[in-house]
Amino acid sequence: MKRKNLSKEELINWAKEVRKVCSEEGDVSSMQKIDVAIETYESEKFVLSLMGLAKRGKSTLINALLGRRDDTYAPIDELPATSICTTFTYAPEEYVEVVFRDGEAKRILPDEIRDYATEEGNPRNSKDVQLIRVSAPFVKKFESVTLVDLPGSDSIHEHHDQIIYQFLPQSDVVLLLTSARMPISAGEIDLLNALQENDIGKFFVAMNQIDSVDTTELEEGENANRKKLAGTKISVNTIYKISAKQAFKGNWENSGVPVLMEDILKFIDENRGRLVKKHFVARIESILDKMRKAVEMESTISDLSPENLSKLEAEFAIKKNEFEKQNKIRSKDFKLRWDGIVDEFAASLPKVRNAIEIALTEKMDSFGIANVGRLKKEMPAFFAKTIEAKLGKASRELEIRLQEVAKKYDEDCPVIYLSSNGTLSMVQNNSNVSEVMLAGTGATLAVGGGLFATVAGGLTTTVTTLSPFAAPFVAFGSTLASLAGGTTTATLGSAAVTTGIVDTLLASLGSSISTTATAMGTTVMTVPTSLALVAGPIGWTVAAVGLCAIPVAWGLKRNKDLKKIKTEVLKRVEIAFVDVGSDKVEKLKEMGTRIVAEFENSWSQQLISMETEMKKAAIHAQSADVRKRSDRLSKLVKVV
Amino acid sequence: MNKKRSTIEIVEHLLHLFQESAKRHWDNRDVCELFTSLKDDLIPLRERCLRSTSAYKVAFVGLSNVGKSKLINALLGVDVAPSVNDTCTASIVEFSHGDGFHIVAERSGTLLPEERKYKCVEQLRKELSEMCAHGDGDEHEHWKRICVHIPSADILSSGLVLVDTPGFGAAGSLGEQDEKTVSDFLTKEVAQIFWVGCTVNGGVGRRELEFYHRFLRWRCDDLVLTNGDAWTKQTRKRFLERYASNFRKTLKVHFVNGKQGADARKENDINALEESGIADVEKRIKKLKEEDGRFVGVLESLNLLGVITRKFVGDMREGKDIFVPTLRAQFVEKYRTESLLAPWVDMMSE
Repeated sequence: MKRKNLSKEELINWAKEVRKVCSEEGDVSSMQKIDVAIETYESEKFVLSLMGLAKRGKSTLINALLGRRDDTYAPIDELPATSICTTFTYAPEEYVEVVFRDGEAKRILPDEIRDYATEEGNPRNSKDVQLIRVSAPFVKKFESVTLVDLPGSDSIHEHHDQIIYQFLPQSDVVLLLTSARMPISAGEIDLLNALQENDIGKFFVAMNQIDSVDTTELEEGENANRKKLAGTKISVNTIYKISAKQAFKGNWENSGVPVLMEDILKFIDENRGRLVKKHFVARIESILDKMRKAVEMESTISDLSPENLSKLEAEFAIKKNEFEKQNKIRSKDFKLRWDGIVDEFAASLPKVRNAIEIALTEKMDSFGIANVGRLKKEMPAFFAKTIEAKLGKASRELEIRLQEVAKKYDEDCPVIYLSSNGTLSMVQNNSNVSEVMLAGTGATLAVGGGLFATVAGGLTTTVTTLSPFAAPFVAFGSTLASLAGGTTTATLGSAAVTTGIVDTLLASLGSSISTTATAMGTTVMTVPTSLALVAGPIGWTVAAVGLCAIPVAWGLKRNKDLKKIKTEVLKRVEIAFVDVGSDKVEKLKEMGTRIVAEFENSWSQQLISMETEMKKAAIHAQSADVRKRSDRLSKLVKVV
Repeated sequence: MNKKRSTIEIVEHLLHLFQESAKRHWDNRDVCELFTSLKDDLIPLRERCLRSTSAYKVAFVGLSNVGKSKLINALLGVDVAPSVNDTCTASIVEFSHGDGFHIVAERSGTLLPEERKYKCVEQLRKELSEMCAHGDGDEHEHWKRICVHIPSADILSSGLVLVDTPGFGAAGSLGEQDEKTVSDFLTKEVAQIFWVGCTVNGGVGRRELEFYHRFLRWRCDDLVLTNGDAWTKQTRKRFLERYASNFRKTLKVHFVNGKQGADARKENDINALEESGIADVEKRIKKLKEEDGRFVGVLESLNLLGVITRKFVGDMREGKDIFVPTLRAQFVEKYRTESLLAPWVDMMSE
């Protein structure tokens, strides 16, 4: 049965079957998602999300579209207000509920929306709100549309950005609001790119706040925007010009909003059927995909006869032994390599130190006695720069090599996997078995590999305890941990986990705050010099040294003699290197030991869970009634 | 002793005090963090003292279209900086005093700068806005640096140079280029920075904050928010509360209303000028006009820092004992009479 030709009813029944399976597996969050998807599909509700930078008038526009003259439903404020996602649906009777992250839902009064939906009322989303659902008899014209108000992007509140990117894939149409007062900015282009990447059916772009600019400025602004958009891969046919405020005040005719909404509704009418179906199928499929792997294992095992089953268990015991033996050897090898790299770095230090001393001495010599005053002025900066240039280079190389060897340690891990004909195999590394890789929750079909990303959290916590600038690392670590722990709605989060968190993390440290890591949250670092911004766990070698620049400056003041200055400067270099050479190098080696512990722990956990799954499947396979279920499951999977 | 030397001495004395006191309490994390943070604030002040005193460049930095150029015009008292609803101001434009209206500009690719004279400010402005506009992709026409000389601006009359910069955060490759140009310039040539934002944008966004932390933190004592009349007093207070942790403690926030300021100046209405907030910013800049004034600025920052630190230390268990006693007494003895250092002296006296 090809899915494309299935009727709406058939598709919904299919989804309900999937839901039954989830229920049996106890997967509550997937059940919730399916419920929402079915409801949306049945009602053919189109989800129109409003996006844009903070303070562009999204909430104002929503209030206007809802036909309200107040901002009870979509609170407005002079500072960025909206801090969570609120959905607005037409219903004959008013009902407002807050849905919390843990799945609990609570009915509230409209006046209380402010207490949950704004940054003032719910700072940093301490109330753990997932979203707010408002149903009320709004303007009948928009009956078929679910309006979604989202926080503004690019504000100092990073948790706002997380919400936007999580919600993106669930939108059918997006309206991007920019301001007529300023040209489109990099942040808005980022949003548009994200929309394209997420395959959002259609987006509309509107310049808001046209009532704050005169005709010339408006024209200039529009032309500027067209030029900027032309330089991107994004194609926008019409740039609408509206004033949400005017519409809010009741002045519809001159607000430009009716034209915009008409076009949006027209688009929805023409494409509703197709897009709604497409999105529904996509949502159910993503849930199914997760379960497919669990199902495959169960069905494979349930197909085996009892004696083949016990053969399988014996086979597993053997492979497990082999796996553990191999990994023991690999861990030893890894640690040797790791320590070797660190030792090489330590051995290179005297040479680096020498190079630094030569550079500094040359510089000081070039000044001569007559220019002692100027030398004192310029020395601190030069000192810092030289150390950064020479030691920084060595540190960065060290870091790259360490990362490489850790990655290889991970990637070369053997993989045990169960193939569909019920045989257990083991391959040497995970690069060949990408299809049977780790499932999300549920059964583990394979063990080994793919850990580098998931253990990134571990690396980060290791870094935390080693770094003198602990605070920013801790913040990253805990954000990472929460992402890796798998929050149910974190679509971007889970993507980040599988695509090298460590690199993104380290890169963002390197550039102080990275705009690419929006979903990961950022912390402002209060480090004294730019030297501290060298990426990676090694960054601190250079940073710690950078701190030496300050006492140099002060020390120089007291010395009038050129010779004395030289001695002072070289003394500082010595202090710096003693510190790096002894203390930090030891800590680096410790880090290697910790990585081994983390990886080994993870692999053994995976082995245990695979074993458990197999046993569970074996038990289930015995009972006939569960065999029926697994048959049904396989049929479902095959339909897809 | 001249103002410069004495101010530098004060800063270095404090730095020395912090360093020794931190060593004394090496095992006390809170104390060390306090001293590190104090060092953070003192070092830029010291740098500022050391800067060349012949041309003191004050740059206005911010996102595109927040009103930097309008603000500069209000301060100069003359409409000369161009403002267009696009990423205008593609080049860095320096405004300094001159005998007549003229522009000295360097074109990229040529060695010698070009000089052009104008009869009146309107002519200058027209040409300036043409020069500033981003060409349609023709990189070679780009002006590397534009220096505008005007005779009538009071604020420029003692070597002070106001610099208008291209907005950062604009989209596209031109935007990225602008950012690099600005950041290079700021690092190499500018003594003081006024960060300009707009209430219409919610004050300060993430990109601006990033820029601040990368380039402005060391040399920026002032944040000017244009369209200030859009926010009530309460909102301003809320803004400061919400954002305080992101800024250096000694950052002063000003709320201005450009239009009101420009009108007030035309009508010579002092009250209105005061209300518009422009007078305040003017005062800050005028202080920088005179050499001595630049150091008073540093002392005022020290004063503010002292007030904040005093409160902090008051809440600490160790109290004034975090400072090495002998050095502490030395400091009190020496600066007892310096009024701006009163909070420090007070904090350290018995």
